[in-house]
Amino acid sequence: MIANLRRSVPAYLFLLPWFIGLVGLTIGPMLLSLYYSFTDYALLNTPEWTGLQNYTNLFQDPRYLQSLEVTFVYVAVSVPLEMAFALAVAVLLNRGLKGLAVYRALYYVPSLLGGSVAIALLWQQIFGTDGLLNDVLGIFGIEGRGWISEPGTALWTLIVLRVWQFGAPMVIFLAGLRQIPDEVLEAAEVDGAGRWQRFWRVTLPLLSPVVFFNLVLQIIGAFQAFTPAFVISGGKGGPSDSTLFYTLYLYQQAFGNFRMGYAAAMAWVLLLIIAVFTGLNFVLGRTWVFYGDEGVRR
Amino acid sequence: MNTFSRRTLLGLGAATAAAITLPGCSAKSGPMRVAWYGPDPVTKAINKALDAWKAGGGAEYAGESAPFDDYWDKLATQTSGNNAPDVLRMSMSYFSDYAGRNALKDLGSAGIDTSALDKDVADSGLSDGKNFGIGQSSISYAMYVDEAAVKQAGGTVPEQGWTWDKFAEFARDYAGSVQGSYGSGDQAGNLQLFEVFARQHGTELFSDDGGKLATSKETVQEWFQYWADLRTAKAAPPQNVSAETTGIEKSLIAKGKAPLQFGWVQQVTFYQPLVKNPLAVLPVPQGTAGDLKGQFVKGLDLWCVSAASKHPEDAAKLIGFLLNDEQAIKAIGILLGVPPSQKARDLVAADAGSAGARAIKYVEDIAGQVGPSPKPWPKGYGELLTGFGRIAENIGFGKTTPAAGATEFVELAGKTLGQ
Repeated sequence: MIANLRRSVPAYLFLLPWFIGLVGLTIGPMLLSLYYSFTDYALLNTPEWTGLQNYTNLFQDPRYLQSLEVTFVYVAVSVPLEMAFALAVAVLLNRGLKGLAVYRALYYVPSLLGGSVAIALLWQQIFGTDGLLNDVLGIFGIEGRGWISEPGTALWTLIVLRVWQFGAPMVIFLAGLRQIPDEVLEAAEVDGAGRWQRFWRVTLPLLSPVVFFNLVLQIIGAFQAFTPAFVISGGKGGPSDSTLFYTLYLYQQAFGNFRMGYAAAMAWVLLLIIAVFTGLNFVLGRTWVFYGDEGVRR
Repeated sequence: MNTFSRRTLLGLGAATAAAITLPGCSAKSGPMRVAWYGPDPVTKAINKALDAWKAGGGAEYAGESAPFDDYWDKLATQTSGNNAPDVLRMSMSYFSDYAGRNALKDLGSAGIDTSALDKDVADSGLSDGKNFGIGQSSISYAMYVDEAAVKQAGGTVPEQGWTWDKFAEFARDYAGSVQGSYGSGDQAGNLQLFEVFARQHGTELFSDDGGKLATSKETVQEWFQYWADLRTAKAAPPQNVSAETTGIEKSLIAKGKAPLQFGWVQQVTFYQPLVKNPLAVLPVPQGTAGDLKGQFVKGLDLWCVSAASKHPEDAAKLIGFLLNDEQAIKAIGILLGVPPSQKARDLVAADAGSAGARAIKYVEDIAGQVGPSPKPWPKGYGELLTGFGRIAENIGFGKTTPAAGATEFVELAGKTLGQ
C-alpha cells in the first residue's frame, strides 16, 4: 500500500499544478460566487448575508426580464441561421475547390476578429444612418434608417454579426464532411440518388454527430455572448435596452453599480438555464443523431 | 521513482503553489501607479506633467489611463482585488461610493500643500470630517455657442442668459431657418444639466445626507416633457439621431448640425478644435432671465490616494506637484477643469483668445452670481446618471411617456440612494 503510494507520488506531483489551478481558479471562485449570490456585496465592503433576496429580486426587475428576452431571441434566431450558413459554406468548400486553404482561412477570419473595436467601427460604417447599407438601399430608392441606433433593429444587426462569424462551426463541419467515405456517396449515386437526395439521405445523417456537437457549443456560446453588444453599444446595451444581453446586464450590475451579490445570483441562474438547454439537447439528440458504429454494435 | 526525497517533494510542492498563487495576489510594491480617465488630450497633458515630475527627480511611477466609462469598471475591480493604483483621479460622480466604503486614504495629515488653492475646491474632498481627496479643478456647467453660425442664421444669443422658453423659441427658429440642422442637441438624458434645472425650481437634486431625491417628480416630468416638445417641433433631433451622437467627434456641433453644445466648462477645449468658429462660453438657460442661482461652481474632480497604497508619501508628493508646480500647471492647462488656484489660472489664461482662457473668464464672471455648491453627489450617483439617460432614451423612442419616465426615475432613486 505504502509502496504503491510512493510510486504514484510523482504522478500526483505532476498533477499538482493543474489541480491547484482547478481549485484556485475554477472551483474556489465558483463556490465563492455561490456564497456571494446569497449576500449583499458592494464590492468594496464585506458581504452581508441576505438569503434568497437576490434571487427573488431578479424576477421583479424589469431590466433583468428584458435581458432574458433579448438573449433568448438572440439564441433562437442566430444559432440556426449561423449553423445553416456554416453548413452551406462547408458543403461548397468541400467540393475540391482550388485554393481551398485560402478560402478556409478567409472565411475563418471574421470568427477570429470576435468582438473587437474594429468590428464595432465596421458595423457602424455599415449599419449607421449614413452607412453602406443605406447607400445600397438608396440605389433602389428605399429610404434607410439608423439600423444600430433604433431599438427595433439594433439586435438584428448583432444577429447578422454572429452569422457573419460562422467560421468556427464551418471548419468543424468541413472536417466532418471529410470523414464521410466517398464509397457511400458513390453507392448512393449508383442507386440513382440525385444531388439533393444524397445530401439529405446520406451526408446529413452521417454528419449528424458533428451537427449535434456544433449545436450544443453554439447554443452555449450564444447564451454567453457579451463582447459584440458591449463594444457596439459602448457597454450600455442600448438603444433603449434593445441589446441588453444577459451577460452585459450582469457586468453592469457587478462593476457599474457595485452589486456583486446580485450579479453572482444572475450568473448562477444563467448556469441553470444553460444546463437545462444542454440537457434538453442531449435528450432530443437521441432521436436524430446517428453514430456510424451503431449498425456494427447491433 | 524514488529519487525524490520527501523534503524535495515538499519543497517543490510549496514552490509550485507559490509560483501559481503569487501573480494573483501579488505583494509587489514596484513603482507607484498613477491612474486617470479622460480623452486623448487629457492623457497627453498628464503624461507631460508626469515627465516634468520625473525630470525634477520625482519617484518612479507607472501611468494608467482609460476613457471615463471603462475607468470605473477597472477601478472597481482593482479596488476590490486590493490592487488599486496609488494616485488616482476621482470624479465626484463616484467619490461617495469610494470614500464611503473606506477605499481612499485620509489625506488630512499627508502634508500636501493646498495653501494656494481656492477654499471651496480644497475642501471638496471632505467627507465625515476626513479629507479623502484634493480638488484638482473647479468647474461649472456651461453652454458653448458657435455665434458666427447663429448670426448667419439671423439669430442672437443673449450674453446675460435667457429663459428656457426663449431658448426653445430660439431652437425652433434656428432649426426652421437652417436646413438639416437642429437648434440644440437633445439634453433630456443629461442629469447634470437637469441638476441646474432642479435648482432653478427651488430645490437641490439630492437631500443633504444624500439619502433621497430632493427634487419633485413634477420637476422631472416637466424636464422630460420640455425636451419631448422640442423633439416634436424638430428643434431637437429625433432619438435615433441622438443615439448616434455619442462622443465628441460625432456631436452635432462638431458636424455643423447644431449651433451649440452643453457640457462642463473645460470641455469646450475638446470641442473647439472640431469647430471652425470660436466658441463662446455662456451660462445655461434659466427660469428667470439672468438669474444664475441654479448654477454652481464646484470642485468636481479630485486627486486621491487609495487606502491600500504602498507609496503614500510619494503619492502625496506627486499630488502636491500636480497642483502647484508651474510646469505641471502649464502642461495640464484647463483640460481637467478650471485650475484651482489663482496662480494657475493666471498662468493658463496668459494665452488670451484660447478656448481655455474663455472658459476661465466664464467661471470668474459667474462665480459671484451662482448659488451655493451642492453637497458631494451621493452613493449610487453613477447608477442614477446612466439610469436617467436610459429613461430619457425610452421616452425618446416612444416606449414610455414623460410622466411614466418621471415616476420610474423617482423609484430608481428611491432604490439606489441610501443603500
